[in-house]
Amino acid sequence: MTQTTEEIETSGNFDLLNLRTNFTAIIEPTHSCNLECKYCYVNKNAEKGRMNIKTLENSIRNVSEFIGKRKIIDFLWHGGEPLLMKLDFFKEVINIQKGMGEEYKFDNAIQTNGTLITEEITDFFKDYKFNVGLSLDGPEELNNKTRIYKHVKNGSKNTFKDILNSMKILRDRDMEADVIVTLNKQNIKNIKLIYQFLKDYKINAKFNPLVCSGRTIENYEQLAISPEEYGEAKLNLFDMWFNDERPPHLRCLEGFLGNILSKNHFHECTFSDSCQKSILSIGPSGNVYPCGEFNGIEEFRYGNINKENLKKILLHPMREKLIKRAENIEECLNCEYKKLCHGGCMRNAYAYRGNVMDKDPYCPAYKSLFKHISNKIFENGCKEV
Amino acid sequence: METLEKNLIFKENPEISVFVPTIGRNRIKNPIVGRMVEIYEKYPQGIISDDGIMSHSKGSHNKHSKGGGGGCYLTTACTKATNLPDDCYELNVLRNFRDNILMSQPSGKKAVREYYNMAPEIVRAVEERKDAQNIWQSVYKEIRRAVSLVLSRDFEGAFRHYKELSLDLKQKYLD
Repeated sequence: MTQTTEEIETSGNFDLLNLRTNFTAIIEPTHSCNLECKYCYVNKNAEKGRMNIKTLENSIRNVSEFIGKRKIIDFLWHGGEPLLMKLDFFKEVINIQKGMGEEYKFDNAIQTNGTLITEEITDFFKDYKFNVGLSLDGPEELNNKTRIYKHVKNGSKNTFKDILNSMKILRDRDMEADVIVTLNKQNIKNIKLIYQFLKDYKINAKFNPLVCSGRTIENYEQLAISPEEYGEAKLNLFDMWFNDERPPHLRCLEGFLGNILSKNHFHECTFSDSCQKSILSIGPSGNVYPCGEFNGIEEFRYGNINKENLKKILLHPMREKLIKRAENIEECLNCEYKKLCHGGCMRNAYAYRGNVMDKDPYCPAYKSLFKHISNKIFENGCKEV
Repeated sequence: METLEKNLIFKENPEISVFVPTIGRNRIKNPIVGRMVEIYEKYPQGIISDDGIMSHSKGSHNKHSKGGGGGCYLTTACTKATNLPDDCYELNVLRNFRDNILMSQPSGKKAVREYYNMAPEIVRAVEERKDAQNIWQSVYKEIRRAVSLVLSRDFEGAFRHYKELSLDLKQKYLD
């Protein structure tokens, strides 16, 4: 039976409060966006509106005070489109962080669709050492199939040229911007084209499968990919990358390889034994969720940063269940890749199978990729794990 | 999973033995893969912090690219105080001590884990000081002492010396 928050607190189950040193708070100050990407995962029930300064301050203060002084506290500014909040919001972020005192150390990163970047914003991000990540689904003809403006701009809804222009603004200031490529039915058959494009433009990237949530459900037939399609694309991607003497950084493949080689040293949240010890997400009105993709699903709401302190929020029974998920997925108990994969992403499990305690439905793709990479790296095929 | 005993290298060591699956080096053209394999071959027992390094599927920023050497104050002391390379003799002795002695014992593993949690903060705190160079030089002297203890096979003494150094740095620059 699941314990109540009070029972957990009094039973001394402080493992729930033992956050990892690489902890990141993902802050989503708005779920609004100037784009209407066909696969956007934001739920219809996701929090509306924009984060006010009080919620922003409570978020930064609560997280920072809980993690403590002299540790590096990571904030990832996400959305929706976080740059809809305008530059003044991010100036306030820095003011609040500075107001915490010199003993608090922060790293800020922002994941943006790349259409609202200006020279002024970039100068600010450079001054305050923000890492910037963009989203781009490959060359123009592929990107513009899925990543499109909500309203016509300069006679079209195409985003590609504006994203590339943002990348130029960043590079002119010696700032690198890695991109996320979302694999979907519109681009997955063109993996070679995408790889060559990334190489030509010297862009580092990670490849995610689309999440079956939000607008993806409306466009399911047009966009959804099978685990087998995803696995095949990733195998092809790996082979091109593995055989390349001048490759771009592809974080998703480096994560796979790192998992195999280094016993849990590098990993993506998808394969973490317990992602909940490394991340939480705070939405526009201060609601706290396991990650942003759960925003608006009440059973996953841990609490509200304006109403409860972070310790109480972290002791939520659902969080305890999610922390222990990897060791309790029945289908994975006897899997040879269990220690590499930990059941995959719980959000994918929930989206496709309705149960967060199921394994990730992309399981066949992960298995084939682990096996394939082991075959490539080790003389005789695989490594004991 | 199939255990590839016939294909394992047996690395002999006075203290412990390590089995390492053989890498197909001749197949690797990608320099990024090559570097990852080099790290694996140097540290076959795996790493260091149970926490690991996690990236988020939701973010494409590369937060680890700006870390350089990664905040190891032993490395920083050697490279900054004396311009030694990061594969210098002293560091290699200490790395072997870490991987082959400390990592074979629970208390050693815990100490190594604590080191990697704390070290980046110490590096950052020292680097912010005007007397950073002097501090690194004094740390380097302590490193030399630890190295001599390892070489004389006084592993307990080396471990104790390392712990005292860490405690001292923590108290001076973090607490």
